[in-house]
Amino acid sequence: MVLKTSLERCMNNHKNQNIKIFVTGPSGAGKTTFIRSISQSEVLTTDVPCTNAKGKKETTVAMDYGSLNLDRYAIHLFGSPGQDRFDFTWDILRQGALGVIMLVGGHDPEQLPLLKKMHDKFLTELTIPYILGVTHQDLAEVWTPAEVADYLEIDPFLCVGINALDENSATDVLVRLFEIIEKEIEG
Amino acid sequence: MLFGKIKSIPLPQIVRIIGEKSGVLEIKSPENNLYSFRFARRLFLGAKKQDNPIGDTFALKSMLLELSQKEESFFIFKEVELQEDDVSFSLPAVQLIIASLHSLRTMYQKNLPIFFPDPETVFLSTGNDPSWIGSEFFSFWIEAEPFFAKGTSAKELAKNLPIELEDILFHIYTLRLLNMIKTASKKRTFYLPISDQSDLNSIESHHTNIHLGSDSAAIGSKPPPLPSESSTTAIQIYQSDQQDIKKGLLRRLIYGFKNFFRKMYE
Repeated sequence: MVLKTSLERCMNNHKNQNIKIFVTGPSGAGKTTFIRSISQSEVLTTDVPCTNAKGKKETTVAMDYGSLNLDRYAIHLFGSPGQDRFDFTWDILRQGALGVIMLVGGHDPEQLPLLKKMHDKFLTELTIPYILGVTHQDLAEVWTPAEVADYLEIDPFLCVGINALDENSATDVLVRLFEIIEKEIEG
Repeated sequence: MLFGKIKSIPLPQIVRIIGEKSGVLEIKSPENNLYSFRFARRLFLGAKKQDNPIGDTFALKSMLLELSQKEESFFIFKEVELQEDDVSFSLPAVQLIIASLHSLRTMYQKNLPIFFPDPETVFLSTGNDPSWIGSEFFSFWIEAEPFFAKGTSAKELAKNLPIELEDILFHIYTLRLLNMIKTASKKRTFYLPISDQSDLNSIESHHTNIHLGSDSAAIGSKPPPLPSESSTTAIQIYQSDQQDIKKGLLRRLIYGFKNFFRKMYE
């Protein structure tokens, strides 16, 4: 309900129904989990088995796709691979997106340098609004959204904590993204 | 909770993130040596190695160098209020950033660590006073400042200055930590999907800042052109501006003389 309200305010009653959201972030951030949590349709994934010291068993190599419908609006979520060797796909997948959701694992600070690179590049090259979700907030040892905002030197409003396994928490991120879009349209 | 390995987030960057917070930064090396640094509201109060207080700047520099070579060390910052009687340095934290950056330089002379910026990211000058940043970083600043004034990337600087890309990336990393430059962000704009061309025309005629896509723009078709201001153009503008080049030369000369006189007095 909150999501629908914020979406309607943000879209300002435009008639078109298709909204593309690009989900990106370093490997292990929880992008596939986020899309799985929130998608109403069956999620299309391109995961392959991988060997990872941190216990990650599968990794995305091309994209993830999921969607959800809210009245006349269809939100299409496109997730990117997290490994920087697949960075050529990021430019393709983000085309035409209304907003970007960047995710980072707060439990794993080794993701932060790549996140910073992605964020800086994004800030320099793109003009679409974004939000940063700091995942794994259910763990005890974790970087908080405010700390990640300090690390990236960005407004803490752009950073939210998220448990990607939880549908409500994932929905909150989308709500905040639509609030940011609405705020910037007004601004 | 701030924690991690100094391989991913080196000491100067940790100090920058600590910022206004008060507490103790503990770093444990793979050999189980414990180093600690105390901070209170942007002041560096003191350091210890294995419970032995560090008493002077020489010992501190040696400790920083030692730490920069132990990149697998693990850090954790514990936020606590500190007693004012336990103070051996009381230096601005930024001085510790500068000192630890010098140690990093030795470590990362010719390889590219993960925390360096992307060579294509564009940075802009913040307009802060550069006089305190130290001679090594200042000499680079003098060369690069006219470019940063208009927005430039490491890749473009490497094309225009007789300095290798690795060195430029190190200096950009440094200048950013010292708050001399920041990422050049574009103004956020939007592709609001709308129903038909008449809507598009009516909105455009009102001269709004909103960039509108076609009906199918949201999923697949080519979006409308972005308002782009290439940083290459910024460099070209700089190159055609002889006045700026002269100013840069003059500044370099003044800086050279300053160093010369300083050395004479020493």
